[in-house]
Amino acid sequence: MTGRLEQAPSEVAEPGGQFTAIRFENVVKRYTDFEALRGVNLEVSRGQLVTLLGPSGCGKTTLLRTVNRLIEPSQGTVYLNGQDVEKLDQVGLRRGIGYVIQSIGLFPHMTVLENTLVVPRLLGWDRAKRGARAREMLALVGLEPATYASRYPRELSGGQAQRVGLARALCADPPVLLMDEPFGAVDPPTRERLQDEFLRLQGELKKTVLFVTHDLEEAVKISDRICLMNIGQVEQYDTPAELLGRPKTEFVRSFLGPSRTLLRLSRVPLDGLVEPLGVRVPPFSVAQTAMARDAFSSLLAHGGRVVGVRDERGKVVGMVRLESLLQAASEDE
Amino acid sequence: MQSAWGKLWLVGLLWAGLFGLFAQQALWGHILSALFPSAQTPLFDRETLLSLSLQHLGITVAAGLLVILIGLPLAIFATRPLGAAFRPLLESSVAIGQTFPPVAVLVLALPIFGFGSTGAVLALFLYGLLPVVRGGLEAFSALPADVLEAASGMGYSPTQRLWRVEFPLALPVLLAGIRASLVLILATATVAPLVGGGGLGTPIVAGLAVSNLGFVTEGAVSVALLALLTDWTLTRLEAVLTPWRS
Ligand SMILES: Nc1ncnc2c1ncn2[C@@H]1O[C@H](COP(=O)(O)OP(=O)(O)O)[C@@H](O)[C@H]1O
Ligand SMILES: [Mg+2]
Repeated sequence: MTGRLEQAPSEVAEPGGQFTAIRFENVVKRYTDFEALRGVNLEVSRGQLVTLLGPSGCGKTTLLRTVNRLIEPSQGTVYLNGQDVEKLDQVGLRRGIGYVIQSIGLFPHMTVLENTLVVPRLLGWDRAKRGARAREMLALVGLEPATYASRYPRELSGGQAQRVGLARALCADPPVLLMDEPFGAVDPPTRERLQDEFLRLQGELKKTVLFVTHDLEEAVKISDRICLMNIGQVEQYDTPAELLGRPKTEFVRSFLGPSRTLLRLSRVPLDGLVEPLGVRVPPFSVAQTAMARDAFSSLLAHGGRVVGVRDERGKVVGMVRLESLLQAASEDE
Repeated sequence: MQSAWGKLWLVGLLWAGLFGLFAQQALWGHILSALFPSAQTPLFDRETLLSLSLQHLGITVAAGLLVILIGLPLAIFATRPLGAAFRPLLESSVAIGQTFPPVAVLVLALPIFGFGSTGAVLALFLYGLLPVVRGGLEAFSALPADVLEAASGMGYSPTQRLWRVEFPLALPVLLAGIRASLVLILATATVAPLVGGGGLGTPIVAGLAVSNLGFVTEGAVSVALLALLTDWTLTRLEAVLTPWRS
């Protein structure tokens, strides 16, 4: 059985004790007149969400697609759980990897349920098991199976279709997910909601996720680590905080731009900055569970130096001062 | 799907009704006598209309099946990476097949197949190949790239992808090609009697020879009715087979 991905005979333990799920070794992709990947080296630890970030055309999609062999590198090797993907059965490899693309690519002639259980069917699961699993997945991505199971893709909104795409990718419970700008085609509020829900899911499922985006804000919000790419090469591979705090090259600095200070706040939970209420309760407030950035935006929008913090019942229980926010933003600069 | 097939009952009913109508030999006689009072025998009387129309349908179905069984695999092959080089050749040969006047093809086929319906079926097959092959080429090359990418990415093998994704998605355009081809064959089959093929062309050819407008009308109206119903049947079939379209 070459298609099994669970077994990992030659796993490599990292210093931190984590295992490498995906490893790119000097990966080069050449087209007749263009070099799309110029020797990429990258390791993705198991259970981590890593984004490939960079300007359009820098090779993110190309790199992602070398993992499930939709693209074969001209040079170099891609390892999945220590195995050279070149040596695995192509169809088996793909059935073991969840794949989500921006244009979604739902099968128009299949119902939502049939779309969702495509991979289990290819894997030969019995009818009852795959049906139950697909319904479970639809519920997991927030689509009530009773309402949506028998709809056709044309009867879905963009956000709903994207959820089906995610349910389809998750249905056979693959350990690895490849996601190519999965939230790129929906409107900003829907995108944020999908991001939040995906983060919540990822917290439970702990998949190894390779996620392509050109949206810095999205990358900062969701990533364990960000791989910032430029013209077929890795510029910097770091945690969001490190990337924002210590850009290593001029390209990274200019890609992050002036908003990087503000972006750092989107990774800082409000908890640590809350102080007891003074005599006066601030006239506006944000939720306790929000990020420092939300508090900062609220201050910018309303004007003022103090913003209230409310608990889940809406009662204002504390406050955050502008000074604390600014300090959090500039820490270890 | 079961309820969808239930929607085809009307189609079956209309076919039964049409052949019931063709069986009313006396009724056709009355109507044609009323239309052409000067003609002595306005209704073709060497064969019944029912038998002529069954012959006609037989020739059409035979040629149509050949077209589908040979034309579709050719189109599928030419849209695979393996057969891509073959595509221009296929496109031009089916186009040439259709530029030959069917009467000429029939007569040229005569020395090979002799007198009878075989030559007629083969000539009609060549003539009807174009819409199915062209429809097939078009259908399999215009499939949405993202859906195909998703199919490969999910782990469909090329063969599974062809039958479970490409074929169902190509079906509307394929069926449109088949419909055009069948109607074309059905209409063109009226020249079959020139090589002894029989069918509804028989009264038309005879009527032209003896200037009997009743004979011509009998054949022409019947062919038109068959063509209309064939067209409508394929349209219904398309709706039933592709419930996922609006
Ligand atoms: N088949 C191809 N032939 C030539 N160049 C290609 C081909 N596919 C992609 N490219 C080029 O490779 C580069 C990287 O593409 P891609 O990985 O899709 O970029 P990204 O996903 O980062 O926007 C682009 O400049 C693109 O034009
Ligand atoms: Mg891309």
